[in-house]
Amino acid sequence: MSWWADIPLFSIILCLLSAALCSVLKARAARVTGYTVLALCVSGGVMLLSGLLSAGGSVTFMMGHFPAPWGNEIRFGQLEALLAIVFPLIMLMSLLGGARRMEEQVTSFRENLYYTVCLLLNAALLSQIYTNDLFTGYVFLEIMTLASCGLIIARSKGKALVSAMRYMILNLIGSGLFLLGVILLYDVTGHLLMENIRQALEKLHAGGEYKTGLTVIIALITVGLCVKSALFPFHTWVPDAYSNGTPASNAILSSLVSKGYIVLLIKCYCRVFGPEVISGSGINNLIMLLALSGMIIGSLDAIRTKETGRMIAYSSVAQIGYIYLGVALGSEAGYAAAIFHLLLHSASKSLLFLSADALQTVSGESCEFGPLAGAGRRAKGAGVAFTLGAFSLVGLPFTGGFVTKLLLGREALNRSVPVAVAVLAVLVVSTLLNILYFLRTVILIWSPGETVKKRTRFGPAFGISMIILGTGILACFFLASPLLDLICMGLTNFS
Amino acid sequence: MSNRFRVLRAFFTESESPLDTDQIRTLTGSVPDNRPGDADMLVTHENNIRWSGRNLDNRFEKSKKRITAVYRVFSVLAAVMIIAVLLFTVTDLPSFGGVEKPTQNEVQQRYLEKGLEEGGATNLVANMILDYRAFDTLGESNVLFMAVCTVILLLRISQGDTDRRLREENDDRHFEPKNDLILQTGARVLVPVIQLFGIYVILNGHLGPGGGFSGGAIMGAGLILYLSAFGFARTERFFTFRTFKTVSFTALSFYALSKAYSFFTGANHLPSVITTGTPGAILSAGLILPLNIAVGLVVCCTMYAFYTLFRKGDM
Amino acid sequence: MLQKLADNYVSAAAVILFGIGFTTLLLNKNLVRKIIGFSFMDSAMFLFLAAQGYIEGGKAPILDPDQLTARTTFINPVPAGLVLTGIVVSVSVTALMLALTVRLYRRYHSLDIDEICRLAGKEES
Repeated sequence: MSWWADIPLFSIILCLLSAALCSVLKARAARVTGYTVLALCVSGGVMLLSGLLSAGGSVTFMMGHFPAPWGNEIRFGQLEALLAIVFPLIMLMSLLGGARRMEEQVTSFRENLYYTVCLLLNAALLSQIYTNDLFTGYVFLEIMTLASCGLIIARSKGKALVSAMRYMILNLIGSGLFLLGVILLYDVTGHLLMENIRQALEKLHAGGEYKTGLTVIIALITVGLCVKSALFPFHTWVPDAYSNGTPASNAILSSLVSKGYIVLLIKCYCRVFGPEVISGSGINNLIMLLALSGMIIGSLDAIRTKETGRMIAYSSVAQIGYIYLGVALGSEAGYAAAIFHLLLHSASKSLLFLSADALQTVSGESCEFGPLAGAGRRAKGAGVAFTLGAFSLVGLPFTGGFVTKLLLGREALNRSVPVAVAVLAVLVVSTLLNILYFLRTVILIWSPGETVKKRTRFGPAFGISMIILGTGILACFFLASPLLDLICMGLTNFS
Repeated sequence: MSNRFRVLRAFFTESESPLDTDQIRTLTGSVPDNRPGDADMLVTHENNIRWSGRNLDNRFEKSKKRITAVYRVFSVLAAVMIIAVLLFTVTDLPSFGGVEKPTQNEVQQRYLEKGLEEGGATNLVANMILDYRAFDTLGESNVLFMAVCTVILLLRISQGDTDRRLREENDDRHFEPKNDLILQTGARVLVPVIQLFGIYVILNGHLGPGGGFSGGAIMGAGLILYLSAFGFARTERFFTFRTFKTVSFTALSFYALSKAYSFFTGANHLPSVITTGTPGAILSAGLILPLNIAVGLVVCCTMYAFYTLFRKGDM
Repeated sequence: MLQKLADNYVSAAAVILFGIGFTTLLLNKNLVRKIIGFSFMDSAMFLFLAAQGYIEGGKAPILDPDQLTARTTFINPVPAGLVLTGIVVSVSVTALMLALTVRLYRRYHSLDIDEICRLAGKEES
């Protein structure tokens, strides 16, 4: 086996080790450790991807001395490597972008634990991406749940506690349903490793055994993960959880944590159940219905709200709908669109949360829209970044969002007429609604408002994070076709 | 913004302080007759409803009652529905205790038949969780670590907040009688026995029932009993926040590093220096014994940390 | 079908408990009761797992060092390991939820989630 095949193992172990290390360090040292480890994970991901591109195919890596079905395994191809670059990178950028608030909102007394939480979350995300074992997926999913709660409560304020509580309640329900699904799946197949479950399921499917059992299992796993990734109508915890933490937490939660669950769901669909079982169960229709309603209702909620943070949070509900729409289309192109939008949305959401926070800083720390008037003129960089993020989620040309809508629309045309009409209509309506609330905000921040003599400086860390996230969004448009080729190649090696 | 709210907002920036009667009056419009202090954590649900119910005017109370009734009906319906679906699924599952079921396959067969040879422990479950499926268990000990980190984030009082620290320290023996003779005599006899038993369970984890998690929980319980009997003055001589940090850091890094070694050698088919030893001997089963000790230390510290953080916000 | 249910009585009991715990967690307004509901749900899952691993007449999978060659029927060790993992996760989550409840109670003097949300909403309006 080539040397680069050890990279996933070492990135996970490095994150776990340095998480423990951060808990004994002082705030400053912990911050440096956190940044370094995340940067190392990103570069590890790059090396892994280049190795996998030259070798082709995917690699199965035993975690221990025993092969499947006895020991734990991880498995990675181009898609996993791509995700393993993007996720730590976005976490690093969110931390850099939110660093200026850390002192004030988290306090140095607990700041080291904040990095512990982040690194454990990164380890869990990486394990979620790489794992080939359903139960390992469950264990790290629980780490993600606890870590997200830790990120919200890192900010000592009453609303953060309340939203953490609401977050926990719904997420525990999601974990419970997912675990029950995994247990039932073990019960009917006798395996916990994904490929072995798939083989056993194919036999069961051919023999027509455990029909009800299988339908209930698919429903339990899907609903569990949908609750956790905030698909409509399980999104009630979203606006609070995504808008009451410190900006770095908001960015990480909305752009990474929900995506981790979606990656696991896609993995379950592609690698555990397989397309036949999934399409036979009809779950795709349910997801499509929920995704389409989410795209509309999330946008409507975003229009109604009066606070910037909540508006961005509600727009997540709509955007998660786009991702699930791709999943529900069920074809390879659909999955490719879902993963493309997943990457794009991670970058855009972090960019929006961080730049909106900077705009609020220059507008007297108000969370409402009114004082934002002219904020873009007071903080030009943040204004440009916000505009770019908003354009990308609206789906204007030259940003990645345009590509997603094109892909989803094109894939929907291959379906039966009613489905195609419904999907296209919802895409159009949702885009119009997006324009309504995002452009309203963009126009507001560039309109003339009160000017401030003293310029607020956000520091180089914030600038770097804005530039890299913004470049990512533009790259999603200008490099869309190589990126999509990479995703498609990854998907063929994925299942 | 009215002045009242400005005062409120200034107040709320200090999150640790509870609302006092004035604040409650501003928020709810009436005064609770008997404000429960920090110490009365677990007020009953009934008390609570009565307490908040009195604040609301009649109309609001009625609509609240109606909502509660709807809630109840809805809960019962939801419960019945979920139970019905799951019961229906259960009828479709392999039967209880039977030998002919999908889980009786080559996986568990190898764990049972080759476990001793490959893992070295006579406790075959220990082989499974610490050798065959060790990645899960590595994640699991990190779940525990994650939980203790978040509890510290929530409950630890900052060094600077001397007032609160002092208050918590004075209130600390609120729940137990101070220097209770029966408790102290009991603890003198029991604590050594409990600790010994905990150590036995940890060290014996690869030979019989037990292991790091159960043994660590027993040892943690012993520490908690000692603390309840003799107070923080005695425990702080050997267990402070520093001890906790050092022990859990060392144990977790040892765990991660040793498992990284075993994963690395396993995946790359390299020879490993770890041998299984004689079955049944105390120094056998390769990494399982040291891992059990590491897990035991983490669990023991975590259990004790949970207790002290809940009790006085520090260790 | 009822016969099958009677055969699988342990699993049936477990899913009933799961349903009760699930509903309590979702719909009860008292935070402490919600946490109890969560514990119910998890315990039900452990019972379910343990029932799946049981073999008629099987012993716990621990070998006797003196009689290594003797053939005995053991229960399935996999669910035992999974239950152990599940218990640790459940302990961690319960501790976190209780800590959150303590903080919320100190601040709002209520355990009713609706009341707490109401007070929190007023706090910054």
